[in-house]
Amino acid sequence: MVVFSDSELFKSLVLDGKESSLNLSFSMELDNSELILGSQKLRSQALELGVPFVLVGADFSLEEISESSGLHQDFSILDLNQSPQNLKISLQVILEDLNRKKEEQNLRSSLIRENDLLQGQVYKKNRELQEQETKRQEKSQALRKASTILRKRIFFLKSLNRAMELSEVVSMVQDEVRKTKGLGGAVLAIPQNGEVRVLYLSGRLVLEKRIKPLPGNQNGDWRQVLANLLNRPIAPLLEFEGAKNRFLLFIEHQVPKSKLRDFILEWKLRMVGLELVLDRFQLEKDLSEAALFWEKTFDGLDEPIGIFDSEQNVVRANQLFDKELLLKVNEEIIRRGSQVFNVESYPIQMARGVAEGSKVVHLSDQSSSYQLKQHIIQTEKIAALGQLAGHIAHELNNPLTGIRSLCQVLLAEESLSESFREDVSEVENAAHRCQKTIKNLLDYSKPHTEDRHVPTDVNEVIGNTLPLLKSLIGKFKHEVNLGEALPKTLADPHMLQQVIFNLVANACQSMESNKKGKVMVSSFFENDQIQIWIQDEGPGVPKKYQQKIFEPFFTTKGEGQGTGLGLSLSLNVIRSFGGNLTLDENYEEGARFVIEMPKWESGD
Amino acid sequence: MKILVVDDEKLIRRSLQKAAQKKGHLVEVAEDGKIGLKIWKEFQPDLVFLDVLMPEMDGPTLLQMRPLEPAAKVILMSAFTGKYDSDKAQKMGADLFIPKPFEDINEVIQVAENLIK
Repeated sequence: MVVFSDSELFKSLVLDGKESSLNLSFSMELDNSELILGSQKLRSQALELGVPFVLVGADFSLEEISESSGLHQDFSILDLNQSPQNLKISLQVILEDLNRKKEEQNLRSSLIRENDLLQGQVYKKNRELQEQETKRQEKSQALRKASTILRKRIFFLKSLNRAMELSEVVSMVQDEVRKTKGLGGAVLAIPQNGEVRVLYLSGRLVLEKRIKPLPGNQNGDWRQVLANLLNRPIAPLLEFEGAKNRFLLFIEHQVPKSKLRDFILEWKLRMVGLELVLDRFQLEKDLSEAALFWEKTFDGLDEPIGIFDSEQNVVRANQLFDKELLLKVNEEIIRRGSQVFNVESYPIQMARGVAEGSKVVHLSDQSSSYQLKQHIIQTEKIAALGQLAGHIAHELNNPLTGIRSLCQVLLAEESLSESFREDVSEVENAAHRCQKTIKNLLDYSKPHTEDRHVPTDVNEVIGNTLPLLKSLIGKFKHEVNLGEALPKTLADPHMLQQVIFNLVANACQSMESNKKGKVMVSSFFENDQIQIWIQDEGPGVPKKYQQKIFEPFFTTKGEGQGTGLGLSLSLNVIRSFGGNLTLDENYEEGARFVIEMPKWESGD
Repeated sequence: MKILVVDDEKLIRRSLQKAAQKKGHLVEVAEDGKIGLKIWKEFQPDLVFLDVLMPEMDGPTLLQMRPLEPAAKVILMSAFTGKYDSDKAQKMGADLFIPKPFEDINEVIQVAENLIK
């Protein structure tokens, strides 16, 4: 506190007579407050310093005091006209009040300072928060952008993946490229089989051209090549290469490359997807080629083959596996006409080595080996029969000869009654029939030796045979057509005669039911074989018997009318000549037996 | 003419005997080679019907052991026509071979008579 005063009295009162001067400042301890007394001059200094001061003097007006104190509203007026004691007390009150105000002032100042500090901190925090929010928003925006890009990329790659053809891929790429401003045509170049397939869009149409591979893959070259190929000017090209360098994607553009940075990055990523799709096409192509190859192989097999699932349904079968065969696939052996198939089935081994119930069924054609087997069986039958026949024939021949001879002796007896004579005659006939059967058996079992084979003229043999059948053949219309200048065959003429006799006799017997029918015997040379046809217009051989008629002991004749050896014996005889005897299955007017004999070469 | 029939089949012996007797010949029969040899020696036939396969002694053996004097004509008979024929029969010492069965017994007798003539 600075008190300014020009009054001596105030000096003496307040300072208790201590030496003072208006020009000097001094201080006094007063309840810890500094009281400065000063002159007008000091007042301005104090004002500058901001030090509180007191003006003491009678001369000061209230305005003056109020003005100069700096304490405009807050000042006290000290009444100097009071006792020094009271004056001191008043002054003390004023000083205390001043001090209190000063403390308040200080407190306020410190509060304000503190407040300012806090406010500063709050402001700073707010700034930080704001910055963070901005960053966050930027980040989220970037994320949104990235996710949009990703979504678009995935969508594009997904649609690519659905593409079934290369042309679809080209359209999709082109559509996608057009979404970016400043980009033009997209061209796909795929090297394949020593050429390059160039695909591009013309309008909505995908065109493809094939060119020779370029020596290098330089962009400039391609621009030129594409310009020639597409027949239009080509803008600068962006070039993307498949990772395995198997294809190129060109995109025309009209903007500086620097502005295309994102686009290029994006398409480098998309190339992977594009490559996958092209790989898939290649794989599909390879697969379908492999399938085709397999299919051709399957169909090319010359025996029926098929694949069946566990439910016995046909999964696949080649063309030879026709409906009729499919129906019989569960049998072990399938017979159809002259065809014989062994049914062989194999489970299909899946990759894990587990059979899933599917199987491959292969019908192995046994026709020729079956026939061979049948032939062998028949030959064995004949051999066994031959042995048996030899023994039986001998055992029976003696008594039969006796019976027959004795009958003949009795029949020569003139005194024999007619009734007895007939009986004896029947016995003799029966014995005769027995002998014939035995003779057949013996002939059958007799080993055929080639010793007796001589060059034989079949026409001559036919000519010798027919008269023997006069009584039989004479009953029917008959026709004999003998081919001229037939080559000779190597045979036993006697045996051949027996065969022809047998066949013609059979033909005549079959015509009992059709007496108006015709028996025909013909001979000719065809297919390097001498052929003899013996045919009738009888009922023919029923289909079910056609396979069996050449088996020994097979007969359709009534009991006692035939041994069933005739045809099998005949076949054996003709085979011993190197020929064959067959029934013509296509002849339907009756039965036609065909003898085929090789022609004799003089060197044989 | 004296005829000996050597055959193990009774019916053949009997029929040949009857047929020959009917033609006025004297006939003896034997059922095997052994008996046949004995009768042959005693009876001294002009002609012998000789079967090939017989028990005890077969036809070819009897042929080897037969008395050569007085000489008799021999007709060999067999059902095994595959094994025998006239040539073979002649080599064995027979005069003729007749395969069995006979077609007609009277023809057989006729053949025998012709052989003696």
